[in-house]
Amino acid sequence: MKLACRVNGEAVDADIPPRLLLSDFIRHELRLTGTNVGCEMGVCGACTVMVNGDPVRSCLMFAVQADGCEVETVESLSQGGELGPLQRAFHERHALQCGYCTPGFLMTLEALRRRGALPVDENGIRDAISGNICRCTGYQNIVDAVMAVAR
Amino acid sequence: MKPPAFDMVRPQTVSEALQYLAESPDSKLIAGGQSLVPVMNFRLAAPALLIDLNRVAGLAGIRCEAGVLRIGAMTRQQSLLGDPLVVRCAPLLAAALPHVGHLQTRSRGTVGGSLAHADPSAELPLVMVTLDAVITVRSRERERTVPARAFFTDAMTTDLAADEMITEVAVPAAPADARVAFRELARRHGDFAIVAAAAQRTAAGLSVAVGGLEAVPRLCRRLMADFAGDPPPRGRWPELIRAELADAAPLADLQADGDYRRHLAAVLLQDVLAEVFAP
Repeated sequence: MKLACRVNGEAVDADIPPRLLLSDFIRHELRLTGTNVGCEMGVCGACTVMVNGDPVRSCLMFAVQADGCEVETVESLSQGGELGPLQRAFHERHALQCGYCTPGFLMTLEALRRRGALPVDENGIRDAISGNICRCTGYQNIVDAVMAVAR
Repeated sequence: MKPPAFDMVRPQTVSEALQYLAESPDSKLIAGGQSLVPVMNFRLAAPALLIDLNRVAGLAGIRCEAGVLRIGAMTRQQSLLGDPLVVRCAPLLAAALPHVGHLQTRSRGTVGGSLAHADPSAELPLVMVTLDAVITVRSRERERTVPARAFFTDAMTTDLAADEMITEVAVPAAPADARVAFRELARRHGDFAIVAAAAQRTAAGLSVAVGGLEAVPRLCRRLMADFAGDPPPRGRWPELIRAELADAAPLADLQADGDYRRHLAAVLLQDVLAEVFAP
């Protein structure tokens, strides 16, 4: 099946089977391995990317469904070697340990940041990241990093 | 953890989608895919053909007219969150929406998809039962309406025939004096509720239901009758709630056994009643 979309601003054309998940297309076909795959059942949030500006779980979408869409992955957050504001805050506040979940957190939060909808209070932030699991349990530092960007 | 091979079609109109549905016995409609894709990833479902509704025109959007809030089947859950029309016409729905999945799943997940999936713990079926919403379904041959209170027939099972799809759900608009309450307990915010309770009180009376307790949302008719006139004194509520739940057939799974679900239902019912009857 034909797929024509834009990924991180670049046009992508592919002919792929419908069963190919967007997460696998991004990782295996496009070789953008920043997007990590955790549970493949829509629970962990590690594979979160943006489709037309909305944060979505790329393991719960077939790649062909992104036809005509603008897809953004964690690779889009740094421009010319410069970290984006959320990445910088995560780096400065040690908001990652093993880092596996980080791309998913960043893409969820980036979608909110662009809408000017990053919560500024701890409860709001914890609510906003409730769809992302960090098994190093580094939530406190993640909350701190988001707060630094939001304020 | 990868779905087996299947074909996909992307109809542009409802009639085209219904045509595929009627002609392909081993097909499945895909809306937001937030329930179907995990099930396919686990190979618990392996349809030969997926009919993708994401390009069908005219199925998304809401409007409120003649005292009814009409929600198109493909309306994304996230798009309803914070919508002033929803807040005004269906405040109970507005209160429940933050509990529906997470931002990432709400961005794809649809209202019609959630109703058709009919998970016993899902919030939207519970809200539609509480509000006495009416679901419009279409097949190639006809269109019919089904009250939400008759739509859910068993866990993950609805009144939909194999060749039918949901096109719209119509929610009676709440009067300005409506008081609503929604409570649920989930292990993690946004996960499926273990048990959830919803209530709306208007001058016409009380509507209250509980989800996650039984295979389908339980409309608490007995309680509704008990609270029809002047509310009974607070001291009697536990006994009335117990009576309501006496014949419940609670679900049991690894998360919670039947006794715990019944206990939780009583607690949450008490909470929502207290909220809508607060002085």
